[in-house]
Amino acid sequence: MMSAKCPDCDSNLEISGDVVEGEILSCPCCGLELEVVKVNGDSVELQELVIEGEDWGE
Amino acid sequence: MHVLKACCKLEMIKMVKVGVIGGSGYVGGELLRLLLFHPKVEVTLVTSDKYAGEYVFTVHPNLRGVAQLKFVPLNIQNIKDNCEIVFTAVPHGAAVKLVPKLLDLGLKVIDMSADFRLKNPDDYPKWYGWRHPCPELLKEAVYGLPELHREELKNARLIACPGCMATATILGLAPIIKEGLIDRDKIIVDVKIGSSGAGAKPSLASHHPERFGGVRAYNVINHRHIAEIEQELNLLSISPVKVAFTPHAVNMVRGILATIHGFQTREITMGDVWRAYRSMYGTEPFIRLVKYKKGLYQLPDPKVVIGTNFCDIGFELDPRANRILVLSAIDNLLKGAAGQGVQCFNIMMGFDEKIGLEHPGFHPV
Repeated sequence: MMSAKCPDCDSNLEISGDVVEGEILSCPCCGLELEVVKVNGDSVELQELVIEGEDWGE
Repeated sequence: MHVLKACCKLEMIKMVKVGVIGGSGYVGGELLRLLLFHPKVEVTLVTSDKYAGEYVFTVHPNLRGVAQLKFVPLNIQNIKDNCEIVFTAVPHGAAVKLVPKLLDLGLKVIDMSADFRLKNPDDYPKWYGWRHPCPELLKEAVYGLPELHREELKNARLIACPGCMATATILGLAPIIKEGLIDRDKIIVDVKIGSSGAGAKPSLASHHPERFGGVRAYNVINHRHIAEIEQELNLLSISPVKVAFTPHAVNMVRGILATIHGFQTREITMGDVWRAYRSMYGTEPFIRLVKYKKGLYQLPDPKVVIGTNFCDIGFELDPRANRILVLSAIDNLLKGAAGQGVQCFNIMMGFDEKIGLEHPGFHPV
């Protein structure tokens, strides 16, 4: 298991050792969706998942 | 078989004989509902002068088939002979006359009224309009909020259970007061409460045509619970706390939502707020931090805690107004009264404090 901090609520997240870059996780404490942006040995870098909305025009 | 019997006998020896004094009100009814299913309690006596001789299910119909208990009149000798611990669920002003006699009998008392909540005797004329006849007991009584007074509760002889709106407010504010995240003398608390908070005795205010459909602010600047809220928050604060508190009677039977507005003392992040609440409540069995980004119930709602001993607390930062918004939801009859009383009882007796209180609420309700 690896650990990381939720960037919003600061809770400790336990992350499975087989996590891969691009995987989407959900913080069990605040529900924030997080994207795994980097896996480097025992460290995991997460950032809030941002989904671009389609541009429907105005 | 013999072993089994021996075990059963041992369990019976461990049962605590509990009496409920004033068992006909809503708090008394909820105490009975919890205690009758508590694995370490034998309810030996329930008093009500008004309903003496009647089965308890006459007044509390949800207990039909659960117990064949009958209400008995208040009789000190009867209490002495049948109880080790008593819950007093009598009106404010009546408990103060009764509790000293019960303590003199050697009983432990968990009082649901306001009569022993305030530490300063001078606060009673100010907030309740009468002089306290036994101020020495105010020093001894432990304010029955486990999240703040767990260690003192273990050795208590007299527990004063907090007011329902005070419980929601204190629990909502305690971490950010303790961490100094908000101005301590500029706090606004807006409470919505269901009709059961007014008790079982009817009045014009509880009359259906008057109550139904209304949102009625009452005691808008001087509600009695302010005294205990400030008393308890001052224990956590380096400077006096001042709370502007306004309750509203709303169209629910049960439940309280306290909407609390604090104003930041410095620039803070959501992580700071989470850390403050997690640091104080991370291991608390009946506090849930509810600030979730998915689903319908992303913040506390009393509907979700009805029938439970949980206090759900959520928060949000409002940088535009320099505000921390806190929402605190409880069932006024459970975490706000009977449930909290049983939690205190468990702590006082050295039991797991969750016993008899672990059930989640209904959904939908």
